Amino acid sequence: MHISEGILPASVLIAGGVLSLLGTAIGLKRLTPETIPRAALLTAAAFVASLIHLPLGPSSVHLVFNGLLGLMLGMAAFPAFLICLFLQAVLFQFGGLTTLGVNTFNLAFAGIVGAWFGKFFFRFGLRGVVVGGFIAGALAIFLAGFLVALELFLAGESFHAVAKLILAAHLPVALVEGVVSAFICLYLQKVRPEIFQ
Amino acid sequence: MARPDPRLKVLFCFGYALLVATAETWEAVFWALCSSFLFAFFWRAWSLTLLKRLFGADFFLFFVVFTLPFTTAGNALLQVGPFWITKEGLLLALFIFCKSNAILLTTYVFFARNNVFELAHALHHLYLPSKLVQLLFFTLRYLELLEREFKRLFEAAKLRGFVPRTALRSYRVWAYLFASLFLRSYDRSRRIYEAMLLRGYQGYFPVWHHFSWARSDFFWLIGGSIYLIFMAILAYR
Repeated sequence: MHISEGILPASVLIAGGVLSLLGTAIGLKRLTPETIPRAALLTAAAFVASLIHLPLGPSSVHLVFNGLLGLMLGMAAFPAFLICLFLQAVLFQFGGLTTLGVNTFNLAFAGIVGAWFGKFFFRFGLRGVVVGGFIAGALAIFLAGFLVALELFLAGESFHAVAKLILAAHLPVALVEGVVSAFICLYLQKVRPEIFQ
Repeated sequence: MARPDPRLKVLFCFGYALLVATAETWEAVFWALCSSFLFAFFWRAWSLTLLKRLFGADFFLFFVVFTLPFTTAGNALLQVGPFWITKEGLLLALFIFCKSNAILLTTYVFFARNNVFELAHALHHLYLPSKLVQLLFFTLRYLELLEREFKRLFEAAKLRGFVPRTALRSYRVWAYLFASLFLRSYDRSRRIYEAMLLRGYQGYFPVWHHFSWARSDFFWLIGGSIYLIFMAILAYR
């Protein structure tokens, strides 16, 4: 979930901005002329896929794919999410310009950590890929939700209740994202394993 | 009056958003909200799409705005069930709501109806790293194409009897649809790279078109700066 404008104090905004700047710099350094189109198209695919709402009981959820992009892009997930969120802020007024840093950090960092844990299981054959995909997807969302909650917690005592609410709201989403990520990883590992290199 | 230079628009918008988001006084927020309404009238941005966008964007905000009056300590105003609505909470919620919508409105007026490629171009001229601008450019270029591709895949699945439900089987189909989208974009990116190599790609885009600084841009530059300075004084008194 994106934090919108005007909620977080300047200190949190700046901290998020600096961390995202660092991550983006490292991510860009790793991109070569050959991998730029790849990173861009996978980002575009994640953007398109994240606009789709899946039914969940009486409601619906959309996926974020930060774990998956972490698996496929590594550190380049930082510039990828920076662009995703910038486009969302500019095209749909979703998220915001001042929260760009914080939101990028939440999604990209969580995605990279989730992917790091998930990738460990990839060496154990196709079953390992399913487990790894689930862990990458679910952990990335849960961690992103945790970071959002933490930032709201830092914004002041009035936000403590919202922070807890948001953390709880991320649990079912993490589960769905984990399941879908697991199947996506299984498919891609069978058809085009080099996508995870 | 000629339209402002895109570079100016980007700088102004970022400055405005930073100031308003961190503003601590009601005067600043009130002034920001008024001026964002004025911008929208001046550039004729009012439309049904704008209202829909604002409503959609306020979704996260509703989470916050509806809980704040209950969770902020202060003078109690009204009792709802076992909870008390406080005056301080209500004011804080309104404060955040106004701030956020002022910024949303301004970003919409300045960016949403423009060609986004123009925006990417402006960012290039504002010395953003070339790799980042290339990423943005490629992502933008293929966004619509991939969206159509996904719609085709989804249509094909529906024709074969797929009905989205809350079920593992259903999620599996979704996952395979998404996976084919990723697969197709991955394969396409390799073809794009090869096609670009043949045309002499060496890791950067040469830019032929440059923005020309018109005389009216001095007016926009001075006007925008005065406005931002005025806002900064109001915001951090």
